[in-house]
Amino acid sequence: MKPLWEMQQFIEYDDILAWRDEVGVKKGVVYENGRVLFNQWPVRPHEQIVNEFNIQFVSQLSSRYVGTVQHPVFINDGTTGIYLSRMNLMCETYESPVQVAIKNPMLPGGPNLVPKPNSRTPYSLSSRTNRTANLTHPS
Amino acid sequence: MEVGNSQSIPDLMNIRDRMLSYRTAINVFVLISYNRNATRATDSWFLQVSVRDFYAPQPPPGTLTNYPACTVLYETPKIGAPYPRVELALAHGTQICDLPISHLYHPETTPILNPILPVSFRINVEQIRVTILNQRRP
Repeated sequence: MKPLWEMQQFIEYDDILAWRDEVGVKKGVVYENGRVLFNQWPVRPHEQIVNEFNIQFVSQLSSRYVGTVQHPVFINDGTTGIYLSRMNLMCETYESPVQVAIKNPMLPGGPNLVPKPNSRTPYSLSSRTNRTANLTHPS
Repeated sequence: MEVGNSQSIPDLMNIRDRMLSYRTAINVFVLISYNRNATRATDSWFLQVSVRDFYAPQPPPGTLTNYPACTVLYETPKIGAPYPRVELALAHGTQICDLPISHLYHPETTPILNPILPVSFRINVEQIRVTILNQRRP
């Protein structure tokens, strides 16, 4: 993708949308700060390894405190805070921050996310959690 | 814990270095990687447990984000090939990794709980290998 990223100043958001529709990609394409990325989904044995590790951890360090005032001693945050947009793409009903902002422009940060007409950078994306525009087709 | 998905082990090492750098408060990094090859017989894997260098001096301004170098407590043994094959059981003496509980709490002291916390968290590395062996795609 690097050759494409180097041309990001010449590529508009609408170009990516047009390309996506032309090739028939339904989901998994992300437009991020002028760059196009493809999502990757974990396959076996990714979650199975995570599960085995968690079993070992919980059985030794957490389960012994269940039912006591000290519970929970440890909290498993899982994928909390890790690239939310990509993780949420696993959910078919996911709506990107941009889609939500268009529907609810009065939400905090919403006006900044709504496309600006004739703007070369269509979205003003600032924070970590909303800097990615998901190009998944709304269901 | 970082379980790589479509990431090379050197990439994961770079993530490890950043996660255990002076800019974070992460103490322990468990790296598990499954390398799927042309055949299941040649699949390999890698597990490494690293901890922050708790005693490294404060870095000067502008120090790179991979400072200080971490301390590796455990990694799967290299026998010939860089990474062991999934189908080969680990030798006795390399099947577990005991991670001191104090590493999970540093710089705070380990709390005194009832029942008392174990001295270490025992990672059954061999069981993780078996999980990869049994749960990988055919």
